[in-house]
Amino acid sequence: MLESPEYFASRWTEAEYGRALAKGIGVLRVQWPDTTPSPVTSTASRAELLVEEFRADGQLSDVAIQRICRQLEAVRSQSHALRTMSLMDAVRIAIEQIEGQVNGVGPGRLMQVTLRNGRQLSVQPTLGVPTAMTLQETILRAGHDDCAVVYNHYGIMASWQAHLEWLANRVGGSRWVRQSDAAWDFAGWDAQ
Amino acid sequence: MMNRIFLSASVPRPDRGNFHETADPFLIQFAVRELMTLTLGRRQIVWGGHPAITPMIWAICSDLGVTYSAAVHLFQSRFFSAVFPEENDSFSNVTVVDAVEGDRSASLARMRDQMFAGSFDAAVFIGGMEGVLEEYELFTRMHPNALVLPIFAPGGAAQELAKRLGMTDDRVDFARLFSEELGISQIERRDQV
Repeated sequence: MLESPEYFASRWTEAEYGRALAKGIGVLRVQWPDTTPSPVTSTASRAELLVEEFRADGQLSDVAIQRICRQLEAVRSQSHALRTMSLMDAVRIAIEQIEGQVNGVGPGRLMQVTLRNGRQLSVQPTLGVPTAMTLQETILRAGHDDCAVVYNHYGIMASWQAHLEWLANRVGGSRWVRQSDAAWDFAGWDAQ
Repeated sequence: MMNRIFLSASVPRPDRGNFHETADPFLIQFAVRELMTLTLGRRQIVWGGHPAITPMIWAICSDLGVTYSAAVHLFQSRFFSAVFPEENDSFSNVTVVDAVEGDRSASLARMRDQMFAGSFDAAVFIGGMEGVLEEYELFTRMHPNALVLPIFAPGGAAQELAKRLGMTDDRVDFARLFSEELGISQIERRDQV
């Protein structure tokens, strides 16, 4: 985020910022020269812009851009790693709590799971906003229809989530599982 | 049944002490996010609002269903009214404690006395500065039988507290850690508070 002096004056940017934090997305706050950082941004990593880093035409210098890109990649990779770990651990915890078993993890982090009733599932944890392509790739990778895609629903529009449910019902066999309700959803599947 | 959990979480500032040297702001953010995802609707979370934490908790409440915001009890001292996050207005359960005029320390003490009234079963400490240590002292005095859980990996004062208590495991699988230590199953319904 580019923290300009009026950044948090907009309810939309403020809501966007809170959503990013809720999704566990790392934020790099690029601070406009001579501004005071908002206390709201204290969980963000910081990159400060200096007046002398702006060229005469108003563009940022190459050195400044490279510095910001390096910091951004560090923030992005840490965030990606933790979010992925969190998603996969959510599946493991959910399966353990319903007395099932995670048998292994294959290419693309596709998890092979056995429910307490003996049913075999392929579970695909996925970051970001899942699409029909996510479901297609999961089914093709698994080689069968008993698949679940686990995702974090924070910040995803209700209409998009409804679309995902509609799609899974049409495809049959497969379903979407929210990370926050994984144990509850797998328990429901186990009871079928 | 563990019903109320106190959360002490903030991000150390570089201009106050040296707690920022061990702090990882992103891990603080992530740990709070995982705690809230596990506990909302299952236990009541009580905390003294922090401007960097409150907007995130509001967003999580909103994605899990706005009614869950009633499951959170936010305390703030009027001493800090100039930096109250706008999200404060969205929670139905906010207690604003009058300031002791011109006295930050006394204002915080007054707020904490009210915040720690009633029963608690656990306190979780994440990141933070000297306030974490002060809140730990007061909390354990008022609730000697409650579970105390400082989280090591995100650093800050909570890390120092964890070291003091011999809890130096630097794990970052926070969801599992909270589930195990607080005894909260992820199968529990979110309608318990």
